[in-house]
Amino acid sequence: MEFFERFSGTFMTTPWEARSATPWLDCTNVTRFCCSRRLLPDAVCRAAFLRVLCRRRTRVSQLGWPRALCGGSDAMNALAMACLLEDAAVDQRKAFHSRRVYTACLYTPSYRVLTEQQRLRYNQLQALYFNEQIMFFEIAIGRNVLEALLPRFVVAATYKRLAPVLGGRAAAHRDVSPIEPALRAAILWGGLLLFYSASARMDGGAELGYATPSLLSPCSSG
Amino acid sequence: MLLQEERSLFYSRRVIAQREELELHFVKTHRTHLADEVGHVRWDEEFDWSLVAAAPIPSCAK
Repeated sequence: MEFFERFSGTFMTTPWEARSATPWLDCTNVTRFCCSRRLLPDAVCRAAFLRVLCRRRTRVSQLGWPRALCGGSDAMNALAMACLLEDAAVDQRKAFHSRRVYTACLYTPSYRVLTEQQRLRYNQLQALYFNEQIMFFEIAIGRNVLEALLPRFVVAATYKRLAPVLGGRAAAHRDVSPIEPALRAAILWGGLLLFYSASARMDGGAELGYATPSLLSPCSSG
Repeated sequence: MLLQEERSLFYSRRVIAQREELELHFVKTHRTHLADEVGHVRWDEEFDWSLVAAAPIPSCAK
């Protein structure tokens, strides 16, 4: 609960320049702090949580729990994040990432001379680097790119779906201006309908991590 | 960007597959992220990129 209160009270009112100076959002500081203070899971949670809030464009309605996380598929992520925050300290004796697929220097002569303890630490630092990289792409690139694409895509897709109803220039995808006011309104709710993160199958089987089939039929350009 | 998303999915699946050997917090972190990331990759399938390229930029997005 403390996290949600700090998040809602601090982040939403802090300008971006100031945010980058805060330890828990500055990627270069995460590694330094997480080793001793178990901040990495916390920081990754914040990144994921930030995305949930931004995608839904939702402000926290009350201290403690945002409305966006109270229903739908995002509730699953909220539960997972809550578990992360409540767990015990990081077990430094275990690897943080798969050694088989994520040991960049595995085949170099230098790796052979490392002791087991050094190899374990190398694995842990590589895993932290990888998580920081994900955070950077999610926050600095992914969000900006998707938000830039959102209005154009919703306008195009909505017009495509409305065209058979409107008749006439059904094939004239480029001419959106006659119904632009309606499309602008569609953008507001279209984001909620078209851009959601569906539940993934998390456990077992060949379909591990794959999403369930989409409820929306894709728009075709034909 | 999608390459990064796909790469992330691949690594997260491997982490979950080896969850017994790895640190619990990192496994849970990857599980949480994987659930969200799958939706991002699927957006690409739902996008009609030709429409996006042909559509005019709405004034509210400029």
